[in-house]
Parts: sequence; structure tokens; C-alpha cells
Amino acid sequence: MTRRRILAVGGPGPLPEGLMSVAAALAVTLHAGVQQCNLPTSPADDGPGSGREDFVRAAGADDVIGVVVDQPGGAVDWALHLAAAIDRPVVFAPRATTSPFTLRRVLVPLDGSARATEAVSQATSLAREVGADVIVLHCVHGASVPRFEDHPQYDPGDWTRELAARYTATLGEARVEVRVGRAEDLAVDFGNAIGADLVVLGWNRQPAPGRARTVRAILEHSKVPVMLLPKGRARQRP
Amino acid sequence: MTSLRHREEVVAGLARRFEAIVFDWDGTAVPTPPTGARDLRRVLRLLLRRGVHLVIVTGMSAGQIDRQLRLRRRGEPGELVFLTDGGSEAVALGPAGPLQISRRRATADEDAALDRASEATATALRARGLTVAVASRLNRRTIDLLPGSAFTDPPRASVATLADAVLERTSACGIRDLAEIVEVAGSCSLAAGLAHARISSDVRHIEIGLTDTRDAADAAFSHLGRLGIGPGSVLIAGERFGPVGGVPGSDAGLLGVAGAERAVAVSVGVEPGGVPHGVLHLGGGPEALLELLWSQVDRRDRRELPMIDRDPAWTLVLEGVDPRRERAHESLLALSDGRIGTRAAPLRFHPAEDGGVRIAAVYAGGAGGEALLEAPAWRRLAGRMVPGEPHERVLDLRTGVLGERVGGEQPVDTIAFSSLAQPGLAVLRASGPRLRAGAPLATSGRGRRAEAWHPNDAGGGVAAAARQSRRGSLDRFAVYAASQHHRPRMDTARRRAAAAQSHGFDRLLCEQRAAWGARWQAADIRIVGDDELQLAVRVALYHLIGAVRDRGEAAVGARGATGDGYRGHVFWDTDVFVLPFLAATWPGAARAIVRYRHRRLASARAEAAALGRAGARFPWESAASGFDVTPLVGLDRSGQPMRIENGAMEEHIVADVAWAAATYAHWTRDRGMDGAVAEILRETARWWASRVRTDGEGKAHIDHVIGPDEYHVGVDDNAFTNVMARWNLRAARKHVGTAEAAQFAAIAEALVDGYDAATRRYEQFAGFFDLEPIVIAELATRPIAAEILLGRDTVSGAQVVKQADVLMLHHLVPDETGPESLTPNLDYYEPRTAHGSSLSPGVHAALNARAGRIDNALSDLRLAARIDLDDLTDTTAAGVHLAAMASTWQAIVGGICGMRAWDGELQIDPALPAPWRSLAVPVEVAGCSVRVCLEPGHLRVESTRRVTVRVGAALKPHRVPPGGLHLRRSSRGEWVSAR
Repeated sequence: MTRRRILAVGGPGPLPEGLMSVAAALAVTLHAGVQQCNLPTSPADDGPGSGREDFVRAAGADDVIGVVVDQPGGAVDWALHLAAAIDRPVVFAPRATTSPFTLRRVLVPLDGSARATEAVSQATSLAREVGADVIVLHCVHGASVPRFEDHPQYDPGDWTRELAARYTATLGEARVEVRVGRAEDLAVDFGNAIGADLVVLGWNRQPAPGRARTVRAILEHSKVPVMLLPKGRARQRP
Repeated sequence: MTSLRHREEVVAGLARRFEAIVFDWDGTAVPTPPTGARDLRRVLRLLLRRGVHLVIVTGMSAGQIDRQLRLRRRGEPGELVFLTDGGSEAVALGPAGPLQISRRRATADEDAALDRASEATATALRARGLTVAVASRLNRRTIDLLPGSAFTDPPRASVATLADAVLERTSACGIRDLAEIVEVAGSCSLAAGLAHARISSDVRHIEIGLTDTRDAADAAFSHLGRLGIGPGSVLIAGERFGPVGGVPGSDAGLLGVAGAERAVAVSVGVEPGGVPHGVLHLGGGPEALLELLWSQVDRRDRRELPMIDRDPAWTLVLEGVDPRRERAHESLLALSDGRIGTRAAPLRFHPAEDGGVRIAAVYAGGAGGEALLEAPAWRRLAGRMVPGEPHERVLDLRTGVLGERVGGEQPVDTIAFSSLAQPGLAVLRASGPRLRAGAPLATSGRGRRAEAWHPNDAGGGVAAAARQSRRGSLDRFAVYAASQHHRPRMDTARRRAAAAQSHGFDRLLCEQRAAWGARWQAADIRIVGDDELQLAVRVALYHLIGAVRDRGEAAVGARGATGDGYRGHVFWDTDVFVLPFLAATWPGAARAIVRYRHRRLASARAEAAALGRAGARFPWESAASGFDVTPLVGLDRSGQPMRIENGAMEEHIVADVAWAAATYAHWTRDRGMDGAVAEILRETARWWASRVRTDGEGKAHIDHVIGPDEYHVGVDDNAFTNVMARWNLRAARKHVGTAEAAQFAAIAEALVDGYDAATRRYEQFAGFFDLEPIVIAELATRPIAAEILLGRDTVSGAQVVKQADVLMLHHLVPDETGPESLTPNLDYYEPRTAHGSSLSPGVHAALNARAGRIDNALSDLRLAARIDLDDLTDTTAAGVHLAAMASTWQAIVGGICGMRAWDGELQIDPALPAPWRSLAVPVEVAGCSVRVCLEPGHLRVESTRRVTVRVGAALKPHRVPPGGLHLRRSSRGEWVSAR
């Protein structure tokens, strides 16, 4: 029987300790092994000779259950395109990731939509299995702004209680925090404030400019690893 | 199909409980000729005792039936009604014999027309060589095709012999069959001026009448509807449904009315021509019916569960438990009786549930923290829900009964209700091989028991006692005795529970249905042409009916007792939205609300005095004491604290309470409440008189308030508040002395209202027009909680309105507003309104209808009606929004029908939306039941006594005659007589 693998991916040379520590922590949680994967150039490089296509093909193997990618910082378009091509959970580990990596607190920014919530449900149940707290940050903005607020002295409380019950129904026990604003503006600071070790996001694998603004912003600014969980099928397979 | 299989199908179709049985008499219930009815009498009595309603349909007279049956009622819960003389007369069986309920009497013209039609038919038949005889009976003429004594009627079982004899005679005259004679009779009737003659045949006779079996069936279903019995719970039994001699059988008319297709029909006759599709053919004559009736007795004695009539227009069905929506569903399917509210959590524990029982108007917690007291649960069975287990809940809105099934192959079935007939009593019947009952009352954290005591902090509380017994099925009876300030006696609850058990499930269910039947008779709005809205409106009315008791006083929380939202506090929702519905449909319940306010006048006076003013200042949020219980601080959506100023500033509640009392008086003309209404008007007016500030020019102002648009806090001269205060002052003048009346009049005259006669627009408050001119309709999809979308600071500095504010004046006190000012204000304020309050869509639906914008009205109405059904607030989990539900009634009655009561007189100015084929609305005005029916271009008004209604924009008076008023809309848009 083939053992399940987590691919730890970086450029040439030794992979960052933080990255390896994240991969190892996930592997222990998921009862998998870690396979180190060095690309000829940085993972951010998708030009000829970068080895990106070979890597994506390898990541699609049946026994690969997740990918942890070195994220050197700076622009993140490459990260989105890479994650969009892989039909697996992808964790981007920034260089600031500490080693050893311990999963104690998982931040899940959500807007209440059922698809986004379901996308992260597996990750949150795994997090709880290793004893980590799950904190849902519900961001009220745009389509998630309530249509009615009859009595401000009561409705926010009733609404928050119901919101927490709905999240609990899908995600199990979770602490729910509500903030008014965009997740892209709020999540990183909120994560820092609560000492999150990992940010989990569901996404539609739409890397085009103007899409995935929340994912883009959090990837760009987060100092802790960010796990992207695909909500849909892969757009294209290598 | 083999006869055996056919028989099995027939038996399977009859193997259930029926709650009412409609049956033909002669040939179905008793043989022809009759041979006594002793066995029948016995079984009918037992059925009546078990709460089964019986309707006998016959062409005979009530006296003839009574002489055969010789049955008297002795307090049985079931009713027995005779529909006699071909549907012309309705007679109920009472302790002393039959009592006439109604009788159709032909006018002299109709009698003459019947004579002409029957004679012309006889003449036509005689011309063909057929000898016939005409006999006159009530509202009909009978043409005997076998006249004379030469032929004796065969037994009913030999109908084919009779048909042969008749057809032999007719064919000898060249007449094809009975259908041809019916055609002749139809033509003659038309020629005689009877456009709607009923032509029928029992083979030997042809009848020309004003009524026939169809009318009897119509009367039967209407009567049963008033008793809370839907057609799906009815068994119809006859002996001649199928055609004979080319015409439908004499009992076929029983199936010829709307709703009858949902009943189960069975023929015990021979049916030589077969039975129509859907009719079960059992055969066997009266003996078979007797057997059927006995089987119904047995089913009750075996405690079989009644079936819920799954009429899609009357039921909410919920499959499975959706953990994401469960709590909202529990609110929507909640059972309420005006005293207790029971959330519809699954029978067995489910982790996503938030069930519970709450006692209306009994609060726990101290001053400021008062919240509805939670009581032990009575519906709970032992055990937990198994994930993925089949589960279904069905709420029957018609009867306030909740059915629930848990489990697949060996399910547990239950029927539960909270008794509207005996508020505070809850009843459960459960059955199933895997049923585990547990003790009857479940108390959170304290296990299960048969009695429980939940105290509050005010010396009162709730004492709950339950009894249950298991004989096959489980029957459970729970009684809640509750009081705010006095400890209720457990003995009382115990005694009532024992009495309920002694009455038994079937009697209590019968009472429950009748109580709901009466409420629906008074309140049901019938919309033909929009099934979805029809159901949504019924859901709204269901919760409104269940929310308010009709005795004593009623503190009606904004969510009723369906949840803990708003802590059960009483807002203007109750006075301005809920009360008008009750005043117009069930005055006793509206009176209880007025009493609640009136009995808290002392607190309201104390509130006013504490502020150094006169009169009475009712609080924005009220609970047991009548002092303000509005929280001073709340948490916003981010959990940040914010000051709540509504208790200090939302003073329009004072005039709202007065308006509600006056509205009650206008609808009911209840002289017994005149004193209370006058006192409320007087004391609230005194508050306003002492509250206003008069400037140097003699103008009166009301500073520092919050209007219904709560986005703007601490504003001066809010138009709604000022005009309502003005109305209040004027309305109170007749209840005070001359000097004070003059003072009220002067202040009313001096009050500024922000009205500009040139534009016919009100300024919502002083300075509103100077705010940032944001038009929220151009910024966002509405409804939207604009305060969250844009932030509190932005909306408070902009022309963004939460809900109708100025427009609320046109809704409540149109006579106090500027002439023809509705449209300009609607044009201006509607696009600036976010509709961020659940009250807003319904009010705008009413106003759009009044402004002739029917499409907009319909769209707003549909939104209002679905606020809880679709959980559009995401807070239905905390209970349904009673005021939003009441706003749908107001939109239809006040808006689309343009109905309003003024000192006991009804005004009607209707405009039917194009998609609707008809609309029927019942109301009660000054003790008179009035039914208003709209069809495109037509208006019918029926009343239980002669009343005058004022119709159209011009309020033209029309006297409603005994047969009803029928008007049509002329080409000039006026309502004129349709005659």
C-alpha cells in the first residue's frame, strides 16, 4: 500500500526550516510522509525550465494529499496560479514561519456562504483533532451585510448567536468573531492579534486579476502559513 | 383488476381515521324502505362522543330524518348536521332535537320561475307522449317519470331495475335516455329565467331546483371548515356516484365542489354504471356503512393517531433536520395558544436544536433585565436523534397541530398541539413500536419529571404538571399555571392536567380544531391566483392568532412566545401592527392588549412625573411592570459596545399606544372599554402638552427624539412624532374639560410638522433636507441594513432612512396629513429608504397600493410575507417577527382593499392586483361580521346584519342588503351597483 505524501516544495538547495516544520506537522496530523521537492528555480518562477509543469503533474498523483510551498514574499500572483493548477490543499509558508511549527490556533475568515464554509470543514476538524482552537472570523461586508436590523440593542446578539450555531453545524465547535469590513483588510491583523498559527481559506481557484482579492491580500501580508482549500475542480490539469 | 385486489385497495383507502363523515341518508345509511335505525343511532352516538363530526345529506326534510334517527346530543364534542331538502336547509342536532341553522327560501319570483320551468318541461315531455307528474317541494320541483301507483319503488339495491323501468317508458316515447330529459329541463329552466337552475335526477325523478347536492356538499365543507376540519380529513359516503340512465348519480354532486377531491369518497351502492374515478366502490349497502362507522369507533378506542390534512395551502412541511436552519424552523413551526409558546424542536434531542417552552407575559430577571420565563418542555421524548435518521414535521396551520415522524421502518409518529381552547394546556399523542416516552416534562439540567416549578424573580413563576398514560399509544397532557407576581398553585396545574386526561385526546383535539376554525373563520384571507403568497399569508395569520390571548390582559412580545428574541418585550410592534389585525378579526384579543397598556398607566404616569412632566409616558420597551426596560447599552456586530438611546428618545410610542386604543374603539365600538380608551388618550395627550417647547413665535416643537427612522438620533421636530402628537392632542379633546381641550387644540395647532404645501412634502425632521443627499436605492440592493453597510456616522449624516417615517403618517393617520401628499412623499422617501427594518416592506406595500402602484405593492408584500419563511433577517431563530407578519395583513386589508374602520363604520376602496383572480377578506366591525370579496372589476360585501359601508375614494355610502352588496367598477372608475 502506497503511503500518502505531502510535498514540501521550494527552490534549489535546502528548504527553509519553517516550511519543513509545517509539512512535518501536517504529515503527522494526516498520517502521511513528507517528500521534499526542489525545483530548479524559485517556486515563484514559472518560466521555461522552472520545472513548474513537472511539479504540478507530480502534485496531482493520487497519493499526494497536500502541498506545502515556500513563499519567499513579495508579489503573490505566481502563488495563486500555482494553487489554481493543483487540485489539492496548498499551504504557502512564508519565510517568517517559525520552527518548530505548532498548530494551536487556526484562523478561518468566512463570509457565511455555505460553499466557503464547507470547503474549510475538513481542515477545521483536523485542526481540532490535534487540539488546536478554531476561530472563525466572520467578515460583514458586501453581500454578507444583513438585510435587516430591527433593534440594534438585540439583533446583533441574536444574529451572532445564530451565526455561531450555523458555523458549528458545519465546522463543529468554533469560536466565532464578527468584524464589519472586508476580510482582506481585517484578517491579517486579526490573526496577529489572536496569535493564529495558520490561516485557512476556501477559494474558487480563480487567479485572474481582480479575483480572489481576499486570498491575495492575506497571502501577501500574512506572517503565518496560509492554507488554500479548493472549492471547485481544477481549471486545468498539466 | 381482480375483485379481490380491488377490494384490498378499497379497504386500504378506508383504513385510516376520518375526522368527519358526510353521508347520504336514504339507501346509504338506512335501507329503502327504512327498517329502523337503532344500530345506526348507537354507532353515531359513539362517534359523536369521540369527537367525529357527522353530516347527513338528504333530499328529505329534517323532520323525516329525525323521526327515523331519534338521536339527541348530550354534550358530545362531535356535531351532527342534516343538510336537507337538496341542500336548501341546514339543521344541527341539539339536546332537544334538530335546530335550524340556515334555510334558503325561494323568492316569489324564483318560485314562479320554478313553476314555469317544471310545467314547460312536463309539457315538452307530454308532447313526446310521456306521462309525468310535477310536485312542488322546497326550492325545487320534482318531475316524476313513473307517476301513479302502478309502479312500486324497488329496493335501492335494485336501482338497475328502476332504471330499466324508467328507460323502457322513455324509449317508448322516442326519448334516448335521462340525459335528454335533463337537457330539456335545462332549456326550459333557462327560458323560465333560471340562469343557475340545478337539474338532477335520482333516476325516477328529474328535479329542477335552486339547490341540489352540490350546495349541500358546499355547505358541508364550509361547516366542517368552521369546525377546523379540512376536506382531506373527510369521508364521503353515498350509494349513487356513478351514472345511471346517462346522467350522473344523485350522490355525484357531493364531489362537485372545490376541495371535495381531497376527501375520500366511498360508494356502498350497486353502481351498475361503475363509479367515477377516485371513488372507492365498497358496495354492501347500509350494512357496509355501519361497518365502516364502527371501524372509526374502533380506531379511536385503539388511540390511533389522526392524520394531518396535508393541504398544501394550509401546511408547512419540513423534511429532515438541517443543522444550519433548524432554529429558524423551530420558530416557524412553533405552537402557541396565547399563553404558552412551544418551539418545534425535534421530539428527541438534536445538537442543533434550540427548543423550549415560554410563558407569554411572565418574565424572569429583575428590572431592566426582564426576559420571558422558560418553562419545562412537554413534547420531548426520551433519546437522541440518530444522524441521518428520516424525520418529518408537518404543521397544520388550520388547526395548530404539529405532526412529527421520526425513524424509517419502525417510525415514531406524534401529534401535538397547544390548546387554543384551553390556553396553557398542551397535548401529545405518540405511537410506534420503538417509542420511549420518558417522564412527561423535561427541564434543562434537572432531568425529567411529572411536575416542575420554575420561579421568576418577582414572586411568581410557572407551575407545570403533566399526566401521561400508555395504552398502545402514549397520551400526554401538560398544564402550565403561571403568574408574574403570585406563585401559582401546583394543585391547580395538577387538577387541570387530570381533567384534561379525563376528557381525553379526541375531545381536546376536537375543541382545538373548533377554536382554530372559529379564528380562521374570522380572519382567513383567501387569495386566488398566488398560491405561494396565500400560504405565506396564512403562516403570518397563524402566528398572529396564536400569539394573543383573548381574556384578561395581553403583553405581546415582538416575537410572541416563539423564541427569546427581544426578551419578550412589548414595542410599538404590538400597538401599531398587531392590534389592528386583532381589532378587526378577534376583538377580545385586541381588548386584552389595550387592557395591558391601560393597566400600566400608573407606571407611565410615574415615568412622566420623573421627567418633570404631566400625563403618561409609555416606555419604548415594556414588560411586566410597565416601566421602561430598554437596555442602555448594546453590542454592535463587531461586539463593540454602543449606547442605546431609544428608551430615552423614541417617544412616538406614547402616541402609538393612544392610536392603538382609538383604533380598537373605531373597529369595535366597544362601549365597555370607552373609559379605558378615554383615559389612555387623555393621559398621553397631557404628556405631549407638557412635552412641547414653544418658541418666541408661538410655534410648538418637540426636541431631541428618535422617529421610526432610527438611523437619526436626537433630532428635533420629527414629522412623525409631531403629527402623531397633534393627532393625539386632538383625539383627546372630547375626553377632557373645556379649558384643557382648548389648550390641547392650541398646542396641536401650534405644533410644527415640516410640511411644505408647495411641494406637498414633509421634512422628516428639522435639517433633514440639509443632510448628505445619498439615495440608498442607487447604492445598494434593498432591503439592506444601511447602518452596517455605510456605518453609523455616515447614515446619521445622510438622507438615508431605515423605514417608513414620514410615510408612516400616511399609513396611520392619513386624515392628519396634507391633501394628496402621499404620492409626493412616496416618490421622495421611498428611494431613500433602506427598508432595514422588517416592518418597512409591509407598510410600503400598503402605501403603494393606496397610491395605485399595485406592482410595487405586490413586490413589497411578497417580501414582507417571506421575512420569516426565508429567514431574511437571519434572526428568525430567536422567534418570528409578529409585526412584520401583521404588516402583511395591513398591506392586504388596509392597502389593497383600502379598508378602514371609522367609528364602527367600514370604508372600502379596493384595487385588486392583476395576477390575482379573487381576494376575500373577513372583518368584524362593531360586532358585525363583514366579508369583502374582490374579483376583477367587482366587489361583493356580505354582512351578518344590515350595515352601511362607504365605498371608493369618495366614500359613497351603500347599505348592505341581506343577500349582499354587489358592485362593479364603471368605466369611470366608480363603484356602481352590479344589478
